[in-house]
Amino acid sequence: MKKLFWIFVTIAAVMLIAGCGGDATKSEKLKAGFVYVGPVEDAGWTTAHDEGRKAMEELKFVDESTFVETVPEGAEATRVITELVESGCNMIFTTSFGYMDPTIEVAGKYPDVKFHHCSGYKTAENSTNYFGRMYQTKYMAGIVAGTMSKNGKLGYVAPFPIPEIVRHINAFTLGALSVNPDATVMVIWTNSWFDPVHEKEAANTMIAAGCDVITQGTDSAGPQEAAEAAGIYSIGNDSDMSFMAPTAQLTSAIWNWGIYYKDIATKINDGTWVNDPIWWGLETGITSLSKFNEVVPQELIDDLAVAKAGIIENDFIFNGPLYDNNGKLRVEESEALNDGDKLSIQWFVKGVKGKIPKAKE
Amino acid sequence: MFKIKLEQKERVSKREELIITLSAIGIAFVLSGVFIALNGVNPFVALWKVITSALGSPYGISETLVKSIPLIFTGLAVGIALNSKLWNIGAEGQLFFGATFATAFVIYGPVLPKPLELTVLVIIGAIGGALWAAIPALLKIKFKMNEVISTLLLNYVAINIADYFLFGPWKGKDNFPYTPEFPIEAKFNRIGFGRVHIGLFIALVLVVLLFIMLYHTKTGYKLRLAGSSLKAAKYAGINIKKTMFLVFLISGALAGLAGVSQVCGVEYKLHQQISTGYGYTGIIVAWLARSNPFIIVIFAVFLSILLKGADSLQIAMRLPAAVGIVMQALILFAILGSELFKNYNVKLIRGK
Repeated sequence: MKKLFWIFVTIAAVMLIAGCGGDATKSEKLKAGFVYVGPVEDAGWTTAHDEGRKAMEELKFVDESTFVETVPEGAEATRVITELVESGCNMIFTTSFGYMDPTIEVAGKYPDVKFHHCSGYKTAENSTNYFGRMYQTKYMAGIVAGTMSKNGKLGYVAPFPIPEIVRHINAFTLGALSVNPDATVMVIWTNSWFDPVHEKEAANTMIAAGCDVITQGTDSAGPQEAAEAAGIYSIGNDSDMSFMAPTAQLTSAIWNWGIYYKDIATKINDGTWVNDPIWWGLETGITSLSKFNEVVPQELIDDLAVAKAGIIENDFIFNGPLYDNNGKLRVEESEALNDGDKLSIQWFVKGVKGKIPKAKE
Repeated sequence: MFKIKLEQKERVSKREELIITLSAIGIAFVLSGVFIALNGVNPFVALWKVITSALGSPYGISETLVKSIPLIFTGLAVGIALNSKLWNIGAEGQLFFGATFATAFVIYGPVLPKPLELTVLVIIGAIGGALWAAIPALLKIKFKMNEVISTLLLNYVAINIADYFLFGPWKGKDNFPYTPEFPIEAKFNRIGFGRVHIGLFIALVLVVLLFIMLYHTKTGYKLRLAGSSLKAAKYAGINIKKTMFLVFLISGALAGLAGVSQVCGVEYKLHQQISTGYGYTGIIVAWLARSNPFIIVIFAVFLSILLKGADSLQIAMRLPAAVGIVMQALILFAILGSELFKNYNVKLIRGK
């Protein structure tokens, strides 16, 4: 018993000594704190943000940054953001829609810290939001899928029926229709951002239903794996997923967040930071298609370059006439969806085989 | 060659039981330490960080308490069932069902004056949890279906029912699976210490009530007797089926309250992530506490410190999020393993 007591005393002493020296000292540099919705190695959304984080760290005036992964979207995030600020972070990036209210809440308590919320719409004096026009890249991905598919049946593993995802599915479908007027896009919802098993199952269901190109709006590489196993083509999402599907993945619609993170850190450093929300397009390079599979013909790659130039010049993707998938005319011939419409879209374009659950009227 | 021989123990003293439980936690900590060291971090520094982040500041303490509240409820839920040797693995689902019931009242019901509204929400949430627990109870009583399986699987059903409402009729105006924020009448008051809300008082009152019921009333005696020996209980003229059903209802109601306390006390809306596995962590809490209501409070706080600490470890030491889950799993593993030492004398014998 006595021996045990002394062992405990020793352990406690070691802890005390080790613990006291542990705290980081404050520095003048910028220190970023990131809140991630999935694991950092999800191979998709969160991986893309983490690569951006690392790119930002290369700036001279940016200190080593820190992150918390797999944070629930809700009140739990409030605590995590607070802890990040308390640990010495002076710029915060919260990378999922559900962190919007917690971000604004914590921002109110720390006026000297700059907050950045990805994909939402609320701002505060010291809090902004940022996003990219991924739908433009999804349109180009649709062109690739529509061209490479033999039967025109495409499958889309989708997370939540929120405007962002609906917009992306629509753009992908319109891209496919631009090269194959008979193309259809089947949609299965997984109701989760990251659920590799469920995503893979959804992909397999669509493959069994005859889809010969699979793409996704979810964060894991599960659907890519399914496509690789079935010997069909796939298009990745958020990050290059070719390591999971070296023969299946034709290309991936990826985020290059480093471009934004470096820009915003520079602005904070220069003192030119403003809380204006940004929604960057293809011209900035915030989204792009990743390296093409060698089976993608040069002709198609050339066509994509033309399409890209066209989108940059005039963002025509949601120009009328647009019909929804019940045949109703939604956008007149001479009209187009404005940004507000795009950000709140809750209907599928013609060609999408899927449903959006209805809200209470 | 060595052989392992197990000898059934006649009786285990409270003291021995306590030592076994504490050693199990100790072993779990040592194993977690090895895991943390393998990630290149000094485990003692990590442990210190966990403790200071949870208890080193008023903010840390308040957040630890906030996270303990649902764990007290689910710990009590699982504990009351364990007292009668019934396994309620379904606290997670009952939590969601309770939360869904309460939310339904917020959305469809009238807005009442605050004290009345909160009382109604608490009662409705408890009823929701109890109803969801009544299903496995009936399955067990009528068809002898193992409650471990039925309660576990019904978790997924309950969560999917909540999802149906979140993705359909209750979808907020962002078109995201969140209900609109609750009106002020449906929000638990905060007690003036960070985000700690009155759910804590409700939980503590229930702890006392359950303790009195279990150890100082006839009903409690019946429940415990049913747990210790079915034969003896039958012999004593206790209606086992009725007792079992009652236990499940109470257990479900307690888990349902965890749901109410999350949506009304912390989140102020129903969404998919109102629980970070509180229903499952409640199993560990109840088991560690040997179902004693007062000790459940202690272990609820203990697990809250660990869960919260896992986030701090990510921030301070760059350890992966999985560390928290691994630590929890190791504790459960060690505790379950320690059962062997509680019930048997384990001897190594030199043999041929």
